[in-house]
Amino acid sequence: SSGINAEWPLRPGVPTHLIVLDNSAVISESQRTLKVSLVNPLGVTVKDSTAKIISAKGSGGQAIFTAGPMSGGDGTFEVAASELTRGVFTAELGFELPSGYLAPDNSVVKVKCVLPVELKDATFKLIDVDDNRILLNNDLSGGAVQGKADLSTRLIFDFSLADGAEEVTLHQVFVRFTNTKTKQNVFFIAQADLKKKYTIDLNFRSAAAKSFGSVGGQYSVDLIVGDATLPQAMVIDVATLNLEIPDSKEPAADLSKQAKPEITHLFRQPEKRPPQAISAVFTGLVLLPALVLLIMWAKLGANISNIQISLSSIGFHGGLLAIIAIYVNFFLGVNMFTTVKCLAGVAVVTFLCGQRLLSSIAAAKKAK
Amino acid sequence: AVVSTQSGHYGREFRDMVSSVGAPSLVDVVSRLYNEYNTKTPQKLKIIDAYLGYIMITGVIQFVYCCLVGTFPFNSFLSGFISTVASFVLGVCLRIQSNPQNTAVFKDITVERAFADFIFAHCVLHLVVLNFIG
Repeated sequence: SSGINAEWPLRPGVPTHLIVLDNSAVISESQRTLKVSLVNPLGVTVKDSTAKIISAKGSGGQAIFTAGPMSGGDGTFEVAASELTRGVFTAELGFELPSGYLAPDNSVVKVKCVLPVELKDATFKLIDVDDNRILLNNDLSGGAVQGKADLSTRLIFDFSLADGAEEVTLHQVFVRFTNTKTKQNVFFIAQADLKKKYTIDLNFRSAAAKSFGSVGGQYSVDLIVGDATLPQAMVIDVATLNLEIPDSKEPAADLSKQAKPEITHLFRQPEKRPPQAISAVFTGLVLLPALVLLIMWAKLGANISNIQISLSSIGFHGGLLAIIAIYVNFFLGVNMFTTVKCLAGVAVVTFLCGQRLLSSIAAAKKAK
Repeated sequence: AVVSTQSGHYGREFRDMVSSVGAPSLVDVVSRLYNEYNTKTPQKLKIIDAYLGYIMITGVIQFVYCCLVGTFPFNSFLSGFISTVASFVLGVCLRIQSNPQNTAVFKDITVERAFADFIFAHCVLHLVVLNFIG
């Protein structure tokens, strides 16, 4: 773009980056090429560079790209898949760069090849266990089937999933029963044996209560297949089953979409306080001994007749009164910082005056 | 029998008590204590004692109030009560240090120095109490 110097100044050691274009790390039947681009930090492709595939192996050992040079040039390269095999592959790329460029940190691209699978050799069997007779045996070639089941029925559903000629096992293979009336689902996981054949074996005498919750009615049966290596998940309509259960229960109501009960917040109840009369009485009672003290002091003959009115005396007593005033202010709501700040000044004055006053009294006493 | 009248520590009243009853009763001890206190204690110490009595009664009243109405808010009760306890302790320290009979023990601490310590400790105590009282 204009304004940006597209020719990155070639100093030694300009790093390059590998970018996968067009989401081409997912190879499918419609998208068979891997497209990559080698760019400098400004996003501009590095001219005069070549790329090659060193290896592109999957977990099974098969290669998706043949080793060799990639087509394209001037920073944009592509390579077509030689053979489409489903799986995840690690493609290692090698580069030849003009002088001054550093090879990219990561020259490994994880490539996924997705291919569809087919349902093969399916048999849908309903057997009456008590009478030992087969009620239904269908290979699903004509589409979904209709069936009826009750508590003495056993359902056996065999199938395999094929990718071309080969049978495969995939990550998520479920059979889903959906109640057509209540839309509730019951899932069963299909297990594959050593020959990669999937089976669902359901005995309704036990499954009706355990899995279906004894809810009877019409169920649609679907086969769901999902995997990372499928282009999209498969949902195959297998059958419609009429499940007859004596004493069929009503399914539990689905409360998840209804309003929950309203929560009223209960604020913390304030603690019980005593009636104000009692508090007032005790406030008075606490202050009363102070009066008694003054009376007793008077009786004992305590007096301040000996007080000298000197500078230190005024400073000391004034300072003490000021400290009391600061404390009263603090109690009334001034914060601790202001209090301590005021206190610091007053305390120094009070201390000095007090020290002078008391030493003069002590000296006078000694002299006597 | 005539009890020998020896002069010694005990005054006449005590010897009379002992000779008349055999062993002093509680009332006698208390009244003797009261008399001794009144006569022997210097005035300054009596002033401090009155102050200590006042502090103690104030503490007791606060405690009774807390027992009556409960401990909420606990910090206020604690700060008030501990204020009285600490003031009592500081008063006792002042009394000990200003007692002329104790000058041998407190050689370097004059009465004025004891008083100055008392004042300073009270300033710190009341700052802390007022902070905690909430």
